Amino acid sequence: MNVGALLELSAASILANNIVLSRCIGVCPLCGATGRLRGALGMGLSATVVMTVSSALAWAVDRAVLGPLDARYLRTFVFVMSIMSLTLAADLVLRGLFPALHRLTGPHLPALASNCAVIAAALLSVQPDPVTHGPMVFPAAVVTGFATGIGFSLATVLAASIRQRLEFSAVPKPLKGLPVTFLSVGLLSLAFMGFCNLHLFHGLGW
Amino acid sequence: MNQGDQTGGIFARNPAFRLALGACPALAVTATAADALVMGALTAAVLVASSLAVSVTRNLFPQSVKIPCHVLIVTAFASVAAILLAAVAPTTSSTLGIYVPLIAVNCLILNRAETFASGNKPFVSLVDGLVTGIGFAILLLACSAVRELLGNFSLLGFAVIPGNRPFVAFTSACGGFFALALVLGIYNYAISRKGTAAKP
Repeated sequence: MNVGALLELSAASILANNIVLSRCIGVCPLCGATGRLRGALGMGLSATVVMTVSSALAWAVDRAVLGPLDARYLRTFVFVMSIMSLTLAADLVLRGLFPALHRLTGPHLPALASNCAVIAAALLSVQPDPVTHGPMVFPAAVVTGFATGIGFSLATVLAASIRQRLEFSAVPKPLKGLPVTFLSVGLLSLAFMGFCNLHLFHGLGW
Repeated sequence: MNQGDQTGGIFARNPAFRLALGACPALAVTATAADALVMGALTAAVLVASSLAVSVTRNLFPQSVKIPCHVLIVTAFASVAAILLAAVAPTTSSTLGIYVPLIAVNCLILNRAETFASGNKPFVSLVDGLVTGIGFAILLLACSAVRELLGNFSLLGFAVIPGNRPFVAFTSACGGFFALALVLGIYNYAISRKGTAAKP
């Protein structure tokens, strides 16, 4: 595994295969809780941390337990269970040891376990590597989780800023609220289609 | 508890339309009507089964671990659905990809579990799950009809509109957002018309 392939993988996960705008996963936070820019940023960053850790955890569980037992069909159940235990434990630890940090992450942390983007990041980190087309190695799995989280934050922040502007614009009544949000996110997704087949770090020879 | 105010309903109070809950599959797997049909049926089946299970076990779990337990119940049913689909229709299963296991964390199912099934009797919850699931499947079908018609000039695989230059963008992700916006806009318009008509 070289650095170039890792950079390529992260660029693909953030831009071309953006989890929200090109895979359409984790769309609910766009339309509900994160209407405000600050909230979107905080939520995106805690999701990035959780996605990085849970991708590493999912990869390890898949390699160490599910693979040898030939029980890969249990991936979803085991991943959801382990990520949920992780976030509940992290919530308890933060509440006890770092109350200031706990107030910052607020109710996000336990709720993130049932966020489809987090589970999707874990499931993606055990798929074949999209850059090398071989099996995913550990650094690649961690990078996938982290870059997916950054892509999620990027999309959430962009959508939240669009929503803030939309509040002051005259939208036809039936399209107010959700429909116009989806229309503008659709335009954003159209723009992100331009990143397809973009090989930023291809042939750098690292 | 006044159940009349709480049930989802196929259209009027269905959170799939009201809040676009469970929008991920509505956007991701609706490029063709056939995929949307399979996804809608699977999601509705998981919704019915988990609503029933959550309702039966509603007095079993302590408040503090209620939501994690419900997530695990839904995940178990979603895993069963994914395994069955992979056994019965391997091609469809690989087309739908990670969206089938992601039924496990579908917000619509969790919403019904938290707001309805965990506080109501099993039979009512079963009916609520069924009705909400049918509404959700209709939403998926409507989105996919728009996308397949515009993106491929066909419906369920049959060519409908003559011509050979369809709007290919509608088959990719952004088409999903546009189609969902259109369907929700039409829904809001229909609901507001019905509301004004009902007023004296």
